[in-house]
Formats: sequence, C-alpha cells, structure tokens
Amino acid sequence: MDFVGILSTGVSGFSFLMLYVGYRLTSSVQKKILDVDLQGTDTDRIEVWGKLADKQLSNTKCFMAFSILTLIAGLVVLQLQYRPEASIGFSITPSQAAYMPVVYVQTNLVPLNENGKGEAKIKNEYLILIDNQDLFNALNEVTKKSEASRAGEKALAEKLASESNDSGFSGL
Amino acid sequence: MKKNIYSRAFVIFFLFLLSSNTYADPVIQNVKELLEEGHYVEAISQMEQLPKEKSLTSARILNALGWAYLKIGNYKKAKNNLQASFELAKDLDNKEIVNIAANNLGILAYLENDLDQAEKYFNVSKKANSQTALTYLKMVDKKKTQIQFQEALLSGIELRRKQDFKGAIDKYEKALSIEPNDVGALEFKGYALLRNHQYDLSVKTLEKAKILDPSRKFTHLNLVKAYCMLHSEKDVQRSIEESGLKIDKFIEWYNVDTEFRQMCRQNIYVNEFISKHRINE
Repeated sequence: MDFVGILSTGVSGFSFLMLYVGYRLTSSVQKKILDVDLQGTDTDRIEVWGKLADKQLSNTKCFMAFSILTLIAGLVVLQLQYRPEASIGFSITPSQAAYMPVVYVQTNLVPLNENGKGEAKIKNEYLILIDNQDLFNALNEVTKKSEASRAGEKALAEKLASESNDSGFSGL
Repeated sequence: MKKNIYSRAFVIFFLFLLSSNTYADPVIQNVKELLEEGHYVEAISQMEQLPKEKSLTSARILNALGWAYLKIGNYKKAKNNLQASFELAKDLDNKEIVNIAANNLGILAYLENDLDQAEKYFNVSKKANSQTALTYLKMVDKKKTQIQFQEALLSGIELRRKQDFKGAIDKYEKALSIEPNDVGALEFKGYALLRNHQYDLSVKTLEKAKILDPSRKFTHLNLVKAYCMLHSEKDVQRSIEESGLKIDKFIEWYNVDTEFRQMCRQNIYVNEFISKHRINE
C-alpha cells in the first residue's frame, strides 16, 4: 500500500489510513478471541478474559467510528475545496507581436503566439494576470519622442518668426 | 495742382506723425522692451489692459498679444487674439498686418497639426509673396505626406488584423510609395504577402527589411516561415544562422506559434533542432 500517496491526499487520506488500521486491529482482536481454547480454563479467568476482550472490541469500534467521522469531515472539506479544472483558449487584441502582453495564470506564464492567442488550464477563482508593461513602456517612449518633437517644432517656429519680418512680433 | 501736392504731403505727414505717436506711446514702448527681454507674461498683462479700438495700433497689439500667448503655450488665447487681429486688419484694409496675422495663425495651426487650416492662412500671405508662407507651405506639404504614410500603415495593420491580407498589402504599398525604405512597413508587407501565399515576393520584401534593420526579430521569423513555404532548406538554415538570435528563441516560437509549426513542420533543419531540444528535455 502506498502510504505516502494516500497521506498526500490530505485529511481524507489520513482518515482512511486510520480506518484501515482500525479494521486491521478489530480483525486481529477477533482472531485472537476466536483462537483461544476455553476448555480447561476456570470460570473466573474466563470472565476476566471476556471483560478484557469486550473492552478491547469496544475501544476498537470507538476508534473506527472516530476515523469514519474524520473521513466524512475530510471528504466534506474536500468537496468544499473542489474546483473544476477547465482548459480555455483566449486571444488578446489588438495584438502587436513586438509588444505582446505577458499572461500569467496564478504564477504560471502562459505563452502567446504572434496573433495574441494562448491556452491555459484554470480552476475556479484562479487569478489571470495580463501584464501590458511592454506596451506602456513603448507608449511612454513614443510620448517622450512626440513631446520632444513638439517642443523642437515650436522652438523652430519661434526662431523662424524672430528672423522674419512677416510673422511673430513683426509689426509692433 | 500745387494745392493737391500740399494736401497729399500733409496727409502723409499726418499719418507719419500718427504712427510715430503710436510707437512713441510709453506703454507700447514698454511692452516692446518686455517682449524683447522675453518677459512675456508681464507684456501680456500690459497689453490686455490696453483699450480695444478699431485702429491699426489695436490690430498690431492683438497680433503681438496672440504671438506672446503662443510663446507661453496658451494656444487658445493665441488663436483668439491672432484671429481678432486678422479680422481687424482686414476691416482696416492693412495688408501688412493681415499677412503677419495670417502667417501667425498659419504657424499656430501648423503646430496644432491642423494642416488644412494652416494651408488656408499661408495661402492668404502667399499672395503677398511672404517668405514665411512659402517656407511653411513646403513644411505643411511634408507633414501631410508623413501623416498620409502613417495613416496608410495603420490602415494596413487594421486590415491585417481582420485577415484581409490583400487589402493590407495595398495599404502597405501606399505607405512604401511615400517612404520606400521604412523597415516597419517592409516587415508588415512581407508578412501580409506570406499570408497571401505570395512567398517569392514575401522573401524579397523581408530580405530588404533585414538588410535595412537586422535587429527586428520578427523579420527573421517571418523570413524563415517564407523559406519553409518555398521548401528552401538552405535558406531556412541560412536565415536562422544570420538572424543572430539564439536557437532557443526559434524553439520558443515553434512551441507557441501554430503558424510557424504548420509552415515549417516538414522542414528538415527545423525538425532537427526541435527534435534535439525535445531529446535534451
């Protein structure tokens, strides 16, 4: 029996093992009871032995009942925590290969193709993170360049006007 | 006749006196000094307090006020004042101020990328052979061409996204007719040609893009795809080797790009390095 594998399933696996141990215990006690030769044993000893056997059986039953309860509780918890897994395909548009967003499902990176399409396995309440930092960095660069161009263009227009006699402050 | 000459001389003298008085006005003189020293905000404040009259002086002041607003970046007020100066000078039939205000309005429209409006104003002063108007009309033309290029390129990208590759190629060609060596346009056209099954042309276009700018990685990827479609083993290998990219990059693309897998599935060289990678995994 793969104990490690069973234990790795959590509380329910642990309860199952306890139940299994309880069953083995009960069966071994029962075997011992049945195997005892009662002939030639005096009545007092039989009575004491009977009480001990009764107590042992009752303890084992209690242990098994407790294991069953724990198993049920474990299964209930497992059911509450259960999240169905789904495989999804998605597409991020508009996609520009040079500034492709980075997609994470939980902490796993999802590769996207040139057209912005990707596939991922998700479960309920999983977090999908779409990071557009590359695009924003590119936009910032373009904005910076555009602002610099505008400033340069304005400065040039002012210089041209200051050197001309038919624009700017001319005529004042 | 003599009397007529005297009366004309008197009128000219009177006008000269009038204009001399205008320039001699201490407020205007002060404004001029402030403008020359670059104290535009103070100059604006003084000019705003001057009375608005239907006179040539007012037209000149409004023009200077408008230009001062342009200098400090308040384009809305600049436009209002320059427009008022232009209208007033037109009413007074003063061509000098009409041309100056028209040029300034044209420059303002040019800076705001309202090129049709700029052209309209510069055409007014062009009639008076204004050098400024002639210079700017050339610049407007260049800017318009650049905008047409960008519009064609963006339309091409939009059509490519809608999978209309023929339409995209037309737009990219229009863009390339304006800027024949634009690497982005060449790369986009090469890809659209590839998707439109024009592999030879795609290769030719992408090779040109590669020569112009070898740092664009998707040019190399699309070139490899195009050579795969042409079943040219040697060229696939050469393109990958010449790309300067690590083989891992192509493996990564192969894993995520269905199109790459479909196009190069039967290519021996690509299959070899993909197999090697899988064995190593």
